[in-house]
Amino acid sequence: MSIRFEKVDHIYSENTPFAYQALSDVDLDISEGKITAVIGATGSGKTTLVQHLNGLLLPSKGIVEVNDVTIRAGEKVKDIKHLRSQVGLVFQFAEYQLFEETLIKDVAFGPQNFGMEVTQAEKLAKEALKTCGISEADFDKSPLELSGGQKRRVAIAGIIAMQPQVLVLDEPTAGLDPQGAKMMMDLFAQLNRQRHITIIIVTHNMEHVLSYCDEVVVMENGKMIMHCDKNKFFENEQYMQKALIDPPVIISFKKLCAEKGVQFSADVLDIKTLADKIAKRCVNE
Amino acid sequence: MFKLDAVRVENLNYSYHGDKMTIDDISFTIPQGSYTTVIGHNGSGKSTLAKLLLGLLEKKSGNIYINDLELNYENLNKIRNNIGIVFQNPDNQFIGSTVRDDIAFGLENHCFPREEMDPIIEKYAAEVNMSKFLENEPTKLSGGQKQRVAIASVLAMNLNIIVFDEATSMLDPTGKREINRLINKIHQQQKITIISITHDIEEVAQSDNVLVIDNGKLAMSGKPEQIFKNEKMMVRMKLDIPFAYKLRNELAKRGVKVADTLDLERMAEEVCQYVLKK
Repeated sequence: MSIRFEKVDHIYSENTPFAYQALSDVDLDISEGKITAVIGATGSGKTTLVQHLNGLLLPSKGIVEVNDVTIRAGEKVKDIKHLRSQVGLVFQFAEYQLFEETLIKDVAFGPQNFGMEVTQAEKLAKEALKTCGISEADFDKSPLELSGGQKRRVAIAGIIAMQPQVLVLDEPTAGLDPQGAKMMMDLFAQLNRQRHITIIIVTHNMEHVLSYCDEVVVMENGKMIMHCDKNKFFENEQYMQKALIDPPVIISFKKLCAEKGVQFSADVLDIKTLADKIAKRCVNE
Repeated sequence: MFKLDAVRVENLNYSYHGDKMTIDDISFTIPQGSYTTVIGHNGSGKSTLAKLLLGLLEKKSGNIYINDLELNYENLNKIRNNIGIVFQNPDNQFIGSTVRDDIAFGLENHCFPREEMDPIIEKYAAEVNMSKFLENEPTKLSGGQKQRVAIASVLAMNLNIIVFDEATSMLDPTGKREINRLINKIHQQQKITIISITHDIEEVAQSDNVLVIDNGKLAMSGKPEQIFKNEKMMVRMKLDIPFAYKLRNELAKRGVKVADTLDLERMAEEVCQYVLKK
C-alpha cells in the first residue's frame, strides 16, 4: 500500500473571491504499516492534506497515489468507490456522523454501502464495535443514548467495519478526557500491530506522537516542511522549534535538567525509564 | 471585608431522563475574581453544570445565584449581562456571515449603540489575533480560528463571569497558549471571574480553585495541590496528574524521595540535586 503526493496544490473555492490556497507543492511518501502523525498549527493544511487520501478533496494541481488508484488534478477519478473501500477517514468530532436508530445499524451502514449483505455487514459491525470497546448490551441502543466518548468509538467502529487498509484519523482524541484519549490511542496501536493497518493521524497532542507514532509529518502554511522518524524529531530541539510545537513535558524536563548539568540520553522518552535512570544515577554518559 | 460570591450553588439537582440524576445535590461557591477549574471525566456532568449556570437548562431543584442575583425566569436577562459562555465546538455558536457580524450579534442582543460597536469589535478581534479576518466567512476558518472568534464574541459583551467549556481543546498548542494567555490577561486586568471546564492538567495546576465532578456529584474541591495529592481519586476518575507529581511517585516506588512540587523547574532542581549527590 503506497501513499504518495506529488507536487500537490489545493485551492478552496478556486476562481472565486474566497479562493484560498490550503496546500502548496506537497511531495510526500507515507510509509506502509506505520503510524504517521501529521502535525502543525491550526490552518496549516493538515485536514486538507488527509482529506485527499480518500478522494474527498481532489488536488487542484499534482498527483495523489493511493496504492493502485491515481488521482490527477483536473481528471475525473475512476475508482473512487474502490479507493474509499480501502481508505477509512474519521473526521474531527466523528460522533456527529452517527445517524441510524441503533449502533449496529449505524456501523453496518458502511459495509452495506459497499455492497455487502445485511447479515455479513452486521457480523462485521459487531466485531468492529467489540474491537472499539463497546459492550454487546449496548448494540441495540440509539447512538443518542451514549456519552461523547462512546459515540466517538461507535463512529470509529463504523469505519473499521469497512476493513480499510489505511485508517486516517483527524484529531480523534480532541475533547476526550485523558484516559478516554489513551484508550483510543491504544486501540489504534492495536489495529496497527494486529491488522497491519497503515495509520495516519492528525493531532496536536505531542504526548501521543511521542508514545504511539513512528513518523512525523509537519505542515506549515500549506507546505510540508518536515517528514522524519519520531525519535529523530523529538531528539532535535531545532526541529520542534521549527514546527512551533510545545515539546512533550518529558522533553522540556530533560532540557531543564541539562541546563543544570544533568544530561539524560536521547532515547529516554518515557517517565518510567527516566525514573530508572535517576534512581540509578545513570546520567551524563 | 464582605466579598460577593460570583456564583453560589445550593443543593442543585438536574436530570435529563428523570431516573438518573445528571447533577446530584451539588453545592459550592466561587468567589468573585477567582480562576476556578472544573474537572471530571467525559459524562461526569461538567457541561450540564455549565449550562445550568447560564440558565440554558432549567434546574430540577436547588438554587443558583450569580453575583447574588437569583437565577430565575424573571432575572434571566440580567443574569446574562453578568455571565457568558464559550463552548467547546465553535461551529455550534456561529450566527453572522462574516467574523465582524458574528461578534456584533452578541452586542446587538445586549443593545449596544451602533457607533460603539465597531471599535469594540476591532479591539477584541485584535485581542484574539483575528483582525485580518474580520470580513471573512466564519465557516471557512480553521477550527482554532473559529474558536478565537467565539471567544472575542463573548469578551466583547463585557461580562464579569465567563465560563469556558473546554474552549481550548480544539486549538493547536500555539493557539492554546495564546488563548490561555488571553484568558489570564482578562482575568487579571479586568478582574473577570473565570470558570474553566478543562482536561488540561497544567491549567488546573495554575488555577485558584478546583471543583472535581464525578457522576453528577461534587467529589472534591480545593486548591490544586490538595486535589493532586489524592492520586487514587484522580486515577479512579480517569483524570491525569501533572508530570512533576507522576515523576515524584515513580521515584518514590524506586526508593528515591524528592520534595512535593507542581513546578517543573523545581522538580528538575530536586532531581539534579539527587543525581549529583554522591
